[in-house]
Amino acid sequence: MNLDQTEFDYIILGTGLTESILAAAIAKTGKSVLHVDDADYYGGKWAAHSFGDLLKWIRTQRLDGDIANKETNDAPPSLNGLSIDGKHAVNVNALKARNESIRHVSFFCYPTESDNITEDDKSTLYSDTNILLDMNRESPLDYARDTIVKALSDRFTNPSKITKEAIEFEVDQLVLGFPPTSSFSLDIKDSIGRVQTLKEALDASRHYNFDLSPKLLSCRGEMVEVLIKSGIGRYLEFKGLEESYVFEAESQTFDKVPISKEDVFSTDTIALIDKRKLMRFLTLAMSDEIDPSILETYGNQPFKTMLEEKFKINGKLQMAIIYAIALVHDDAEKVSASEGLEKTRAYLKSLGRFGRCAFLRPLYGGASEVAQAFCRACAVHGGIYMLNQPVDKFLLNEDRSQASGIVTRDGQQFTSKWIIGSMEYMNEEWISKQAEEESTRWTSRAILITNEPPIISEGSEKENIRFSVFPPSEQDDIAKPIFALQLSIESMSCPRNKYMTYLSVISDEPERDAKSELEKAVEKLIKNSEHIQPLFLLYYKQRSQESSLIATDSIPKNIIACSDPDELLDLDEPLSEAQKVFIRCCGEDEEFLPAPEVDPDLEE
Amino acid sequence: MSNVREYLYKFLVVGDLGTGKTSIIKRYVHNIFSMHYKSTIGVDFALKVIQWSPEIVVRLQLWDIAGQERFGNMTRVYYKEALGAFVVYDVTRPQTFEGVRKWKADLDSKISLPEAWGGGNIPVVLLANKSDLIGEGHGQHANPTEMDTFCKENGFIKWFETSAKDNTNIDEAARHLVTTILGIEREHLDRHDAENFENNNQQLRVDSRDKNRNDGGCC
Ligand SMILES: Cc1cc2nc3c(=O)[nH]c(=O)nc-3n(C[C@H](O)[C@H](O)[C@H](O)COP(=O)(O)OP(=O)(O)OC[C@H]3O[C@@H](n4cnc5c(N)ncnc54)[C@H](O)[C@@H]3O)c2cc1C
Ligand SMILES: Nc1nc2c(ncn2[C@@H]2O[C@H](COP(=O)(O)OP(=O)(O)OP(=O)(O)O)[C@@H](O)[C@H]2O)c(=O)[nH]1
Ligand SMILES: [Mg+2]
Repeated sequence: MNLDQTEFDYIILGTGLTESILAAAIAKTGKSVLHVDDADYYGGKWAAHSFGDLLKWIRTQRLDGDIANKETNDAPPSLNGLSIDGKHAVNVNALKARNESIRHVSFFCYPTESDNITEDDKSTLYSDTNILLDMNRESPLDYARDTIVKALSDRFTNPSKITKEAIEFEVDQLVLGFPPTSSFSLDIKDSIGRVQTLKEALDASRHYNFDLSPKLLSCRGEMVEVLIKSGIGRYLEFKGLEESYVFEAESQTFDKVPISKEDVFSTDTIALIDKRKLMRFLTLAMSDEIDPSILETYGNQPFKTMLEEKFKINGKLQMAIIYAIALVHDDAEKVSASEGLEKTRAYLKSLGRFGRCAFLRPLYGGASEVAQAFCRACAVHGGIYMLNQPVDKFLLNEDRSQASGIVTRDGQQFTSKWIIGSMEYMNEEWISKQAEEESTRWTSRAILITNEPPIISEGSEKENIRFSVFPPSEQDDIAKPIFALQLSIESMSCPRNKYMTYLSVISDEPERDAKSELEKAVEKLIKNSEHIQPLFLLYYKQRSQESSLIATDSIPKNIIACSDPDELLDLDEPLSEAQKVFIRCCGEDEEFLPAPEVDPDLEE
Repeated sequence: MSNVREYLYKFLVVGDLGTGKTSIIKRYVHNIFSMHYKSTIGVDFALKVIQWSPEIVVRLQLWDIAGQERFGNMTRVYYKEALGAFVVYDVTRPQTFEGVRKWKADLDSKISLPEAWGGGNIPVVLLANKSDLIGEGHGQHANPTEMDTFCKENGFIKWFETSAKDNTNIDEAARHLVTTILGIEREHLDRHDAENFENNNQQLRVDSRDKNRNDGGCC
């Protein structure tokens, strides 16, 4: 994959959302763009994976950066600073950095039985499931692995390539937990069931889109405006998020949150008196001129205090307003009344633009879908794409104040006036240790696949996409609000009759594993109905670093970093960062993603 | 209202560098041709509206490869919802025929027909382009038996020798693909009408045409 052109105006590293927006915006100004990603998929930390690719991703994480570390260790460490053709070289290792940003991965697969299995098959599958593993030998784990693989393979008549892949994955997971020496007897009954679950998902691999940083578009957010104006929105389709719920600790139920005026009056989960209070509050939040005396009294007090004192709103209604309408992500105590009113207003305003929803979910893969729409727009304007192209080094001038270009792993050199890259392409030495403390946040995430929708209320379609919040609750040991987004075939997130639920919570303790922070909520989802059969469950902890932690005096002046995906639901932050970077490297005079001159839909 | 049915079909045009993808689209849509080679920039897709029959209008979107996507994977934006494709090679450059299998495998691995239509592979037509040059002593005619076998083995529904320059067989190839898809659609419509398959799958678009902007229930 050699490219004749080696000089560009801009080189962009990483196909995450922020970089992709910039790629499109810059290419539209007529400048030449080389857009590179070390991975063979679009999206970087924003990527959405098929089922097969998710298993690969889990394997990579399980090696815990082993591969990435090995690669750097193999390279002479002193290369940092060595010169190539009279230029200083600074190392890049995006794969390693990306792996380091994920922690505490744990994956569970639940045994199931294939639908079309006969009694005969069953007796072959489940005959004598105990196997004895004599581990007193050389390389006991390899031996155990081979023995179990064989024991499983023998049960499936003519195992297909996919069945073999399922078996390999299952056995690799299994031996992870083995004691290294002693001999023991192992019952592989559950493994047989898990292989069937894995096989079914691998057969439908492309129907799954596992979104590592699940996001939504706010209907009145800037992102929607940019997509409309630039015409890039024509590449995308969306599904509206039509239902919101709040988990009520007392009754242990998911209660639907009314979102429109009609909802408020028709809902039966709220008492009439509460309906009046709620209407009073929503009317105030929407009014253009809020009585200054209210702000004077409550503005700087906690949002909660205003709800309690001014509107006499307590208990579950208060929870619903704070967490499901104002969408407060963190401790409610930290949110002031004026902030809370602002957030409520933003939510109410976003309703009604595209049907009855405040948020849109892009079909297939969320933010990575949006990123790909921008990449297509960049390519259409002449941008060159090189995926699966690891970058090895930046080339810097004598005093290291300017970069002149990059060197790829396979030795090609490309030069440019500007280099823009996501955080994983930045050299460690550019990161200010002090800022790292402040600008690094962790989010614990879980993805749950089930055969029935865990969150649903009577009379609503199974396939609707929904959102629920678990407010902090001492009783349930939930310290911060946990958000759950439930998707389905309607958003092209997973196969028909499967349901995909994303959970997330801000984490103040990087060392605490994601599972312990989310399992209570997962449990409530699974137990919400007796018909729910979980199929897969993935936990991980995701680090999010802002570009502001790069020390401006150590990074070359013409290299610009773009922040990681953050813990917020919508996409306005990355857009706003892209707009700032655009002004910095293209100037104030260039228009950011102007409307196209011709409409290809109308042109003939 | 008249009972004219309108269909919108997205077709992809793929193939190696310089095989004539853009020329074929331009010939078909604008009826123009230029010998001047310019790697494709700024072309997204072209639209051709066909009065197929008195009751049927087909709006064809032809998606070119933005020249430079050829080095990496195309985005999903390019593939998604495509219902048919042309794979183009250049009869004067045998090495471009080598790429044909790769392009077909790529299409098969990334796109399927809608679930309601059975979800199989999308129909793909193979185009042996620049046939006008054969008469001038470049390359040679394809052997029809061999080509038929090749198509069968690799899942192409048909092949055509085309020339964007002389406007040979391009209409025919497009007509064949549209006919095939109308056929698939009709077959599955009949089957699924009773089941009311796509019941309430309402998808939203955001664009300046304000199609689905309705007043919701805001307070
Ligand atoms: C880049 C990219 C673009 C995509 N674009 C689209 C898109 O435009 N539209 C879309 O609907 N989905 C798209 N998807 C994938 C989407 O997530 C679903 O995978 C898609 O809907 C697949 O449809 P399918 O029903 O036939 O499934 P498949 O995943 O193709 O089929 C499931 C099983 O059936 C088998 N199978 C498929 N076709 C045949 C056949 N003809 N004969 C025999 N066996 C077969 C497969 O091997 C597999 O085992 C895309 C995915 C990617 C990565
Ligand atoms: N003689 C002849 N020349 C053709 C024909 N089709 C295309 N060409 C020429 O082949 C060259 C490449 O054509 P394009 O249509 O740009 O090819 P492309 O596949 O779009 O190329 P890229 O976008 O760069 O991949 C141009 O010089 C065309 O004039 C044809 O049918 N006959
Ligand atoms: Mg072209």
